[in-house]
This record gives sequence, C-alpha cells and structure tokens, in this order.
Amino acid sequence: MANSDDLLLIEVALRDSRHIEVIMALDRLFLMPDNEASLQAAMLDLDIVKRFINEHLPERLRAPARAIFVEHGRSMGDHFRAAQNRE
Amino acid sequence: MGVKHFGCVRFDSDDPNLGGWAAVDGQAAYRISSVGNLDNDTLWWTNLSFKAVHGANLNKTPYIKRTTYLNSWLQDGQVEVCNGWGLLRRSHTEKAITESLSGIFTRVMSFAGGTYGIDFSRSVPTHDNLADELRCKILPDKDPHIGPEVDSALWAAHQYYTYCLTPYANRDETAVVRFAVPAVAYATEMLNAIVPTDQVEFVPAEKLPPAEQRLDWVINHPRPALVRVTVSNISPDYVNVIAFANGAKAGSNRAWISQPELLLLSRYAKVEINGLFLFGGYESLPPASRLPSFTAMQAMTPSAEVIASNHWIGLARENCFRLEPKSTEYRAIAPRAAWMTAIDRFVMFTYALQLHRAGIAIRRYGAGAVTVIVPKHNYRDAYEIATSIGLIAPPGLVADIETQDELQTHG
Repeated sequence: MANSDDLLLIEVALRDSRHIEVIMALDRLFLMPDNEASLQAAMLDLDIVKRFINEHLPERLRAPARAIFVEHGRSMGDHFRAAQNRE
Repeated sequence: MGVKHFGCVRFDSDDPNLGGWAAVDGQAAYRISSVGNLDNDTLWWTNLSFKAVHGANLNKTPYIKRTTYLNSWLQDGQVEVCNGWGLLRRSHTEKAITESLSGIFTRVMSFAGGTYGIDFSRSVPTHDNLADELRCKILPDKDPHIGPEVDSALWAAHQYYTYCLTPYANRDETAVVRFAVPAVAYATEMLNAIVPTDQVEFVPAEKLPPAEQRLDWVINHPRPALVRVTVSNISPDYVNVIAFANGAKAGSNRAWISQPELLLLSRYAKVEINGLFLFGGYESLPPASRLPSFTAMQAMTPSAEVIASNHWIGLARENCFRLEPKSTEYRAIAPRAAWMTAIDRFVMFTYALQLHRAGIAIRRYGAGAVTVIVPKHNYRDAYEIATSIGLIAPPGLVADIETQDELQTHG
C-alpha cells in the first residue's frame, strides 16, 4: 500500500482544475455500486481514473496509484457481491 | 414527508428573487427565474448567504439550505468547495459548476443517509448544517452542563481558529489562500484523540505546588487539566502566529486554557498558573464516533472530504441549537469539544509555524487548515513550501503558477 507521502502527492496531482472530469469520476466512485447499472457506471469511471494514472501522474507515483486503484476495485467488487447476496 | 432528491442551486447573485442555475442529483442543470421554481421534493443546497436567506425570510423553508450547509466552519460555503476542487468560474461554466456541486451534494447526502441513518424520506433535515446533522446521529444526547464555573471555563477555553496578527497587506496586491491537510487522514487523527471525562474538581492556587514548579506539575500530570492562566511576554519571533486570545469568544479574555494549549504556550511565553480544574481522567471517544472506513481512493474525493470534516467538527462544538434550544445564557461545551479544538489548533500551529518561518504571513489556522496571505503575482514560494510540509493547495494555484512562470520567463 502507498505511504502517506505518496498519497499526498497523488492527491496534489489530482487536485488540478484541468482534471475536473477525473475528480468527478473519482467522486462518483465514492458511492459503492449496489446494482448492475451502478456497477457498469463505476467501471466507466474506473477507466477514466486508470487513464489519468497512466497518462498524467509522474512515473514515480504510478505504482502506488495503481495499488490504491486495485484496492478500491477489490473493495467495490466485495461491496457489489454482498449487495447481490442480500437481494 | 421528507425529500426524494438532492439539488444544488446557484443564484446569479446573493438574492433568492433573482435567476440562477439549478441541478438535481448531478443531472443536467437548467435555468430558474427565482426561488419559486424550486420544488419541495428536493433538498436544495443554495449559494445564498445567511443575510440573503434571512433578508428574504427564507429561513423558514426547511428544504432550502444556505451556502455553508456542507462546510459551516468556513464563511464562503459553495465558493470554498469550488476553490478546494478547482471548480473555478474562469475555467468552467456556471452550468457545469452547478452540475458538479449537485453531484457532490447528492453523494454526500446519500452516504450520510445510509451510513449515519438519516432518513431523508421521512423528514427534511432540520439543522442548518451537516456537521450538526451528523453530530446528532453520532451522539444523540446533548452534552450536559457540568456546573456554572466549569462551563464558563470550558466556554473560555473553546476556540475554533487562531487569528494571527498580520502586517498590513494591500488587498490589491495580495491574495488569501487556504492550505489544508488531507481531510480523511486528519479526521481519523482527531477522532483518535483522548479527551477528559466529565468528572472534575477545582484545585485552588494555594493547593498547587510552588509557582516555579506548577507548569511542569500540570504538564506532567496524568489527569487532564483546564488551567486558569496569565499569559505575557510571548516571544517576539512567534507572537504574530501564536496571537493568544485572538479569536476568543466575546466577553472572554481566554484566561482558561486546556493542556494542549498550555504545552504550546509554555514554550513561547511566560505562563503563570492561578488555579485549575482537574478532570477525572482521559478516555477515548465512544465507538459511535469512529469515522466510516474509506478506501485510499475514496479518501481523495470531495464527498469524503465533506463527510470526514463534518464528522469530527460536529463533535468539536457546543450543543447545537436543536439539542439545547432553550439555553438562557450559552449552550454547553463538553470537555471533549474544548480538547478537540485545542488539539486541532496545536497541530495546525505546527504547520503555520513552518510557513511563518519561511516568511509567509499567516492569517488564521484551525479546522484542519492554515490560511495565508501571499503576493498575487508570486504564488510559487507559498505553494512549494506548503506542499513540502504536507498541506494541499487549492488546485487553481497550479494553473496560476504556470501562467505566472510563463509570463515571467517571457518578460
């Protein structure tokens, strides 16, 4: 997992008014998906974030950014499966 | 009946009788001609100030919330959220800003509903800010008054911000910039704080050790103390940043301070202790106060920032109006609230001090941020120092710095 310095640098890089579509995609990922439609929407947002990591982050921050990306993806999957099992 | 949707409205000026942009649930924004166009099935987060809402008698409409609903500890509400996330008018249209804010508001409220158990479909949120909404769900009982003397000492010790003494700054040539710590990590830190229990005894000056030993005795005491002090001779190098009692509540000369503040003041000023309240012991905040867990990626979002900040700040306040509406003099401040605000100002002081040492004028600090005054055409120094010590700069600054560098290079 990324250390707090890396997390800060990733957040600083992200908070740039030129990346507002990435900030909004991230913000939509704040709510975990409960159903198929919200899962599909979340996948599209994940794609926007992935592109930002690969194209805009400095080389040194890409590995820690990918790690937090994977952590979120796993957490999202767990939440979705739990919601499906409840139904 | 409650509300079904969450919307954001941005009036063209601070007047609900004029037109503006409105958006619901993050969907496309549309024009409205006045507040009368807004439906009552939606909770509306407006950009209206206290003055505009009360001036139009709109404060009696529960589904209309003021600009500071999501960040009541700041003065500029929606503007602060926009500054914090780069939703600037010169880069984005009002329509796009309204849609973005509407999306953030919807997610914050949906999360608050699901996680804190606020049932928006049953009733419209009654408080005028989210911090109080969350506080009443986290700790539903009001903080008790301990006793008139202790209450009054806690009231004097409780302070949200330290307002620094600044040199004269020409407003045309300077800008005010707010640097903040990452909100979720900071909220976690604040909620891990240990705070005093409610049991308390008064220790008069004659029962304290001799004057020259008192400071060490209090600082090293295993029980938390609320101390009555006389503060003088603040080190001239730090007097502007410490600015003792600047920001105190009206009618208080800050004669009472908590241990975290005593620790700080004793390093930079002459502090005489004239008496104290000794609390029973330290305790952790109750489990219900714990911050919801976020992934590292969630923690970097505007919605997480809003939730985390409201969560801890809601616990660091006096009883809100709805919990203690008939208070004759002042509402109760728990030792918890006095300690949390003192710890917050202590931590923020350490950041402010580093900026001050680098020659940057500090305007105020507290609530997880340091606000500074920087020359309008040279943001780079402040930006680089702030980010190197772990503070987050407003995103508009990056583009401004690049423009300034480009212009200066060209010159």
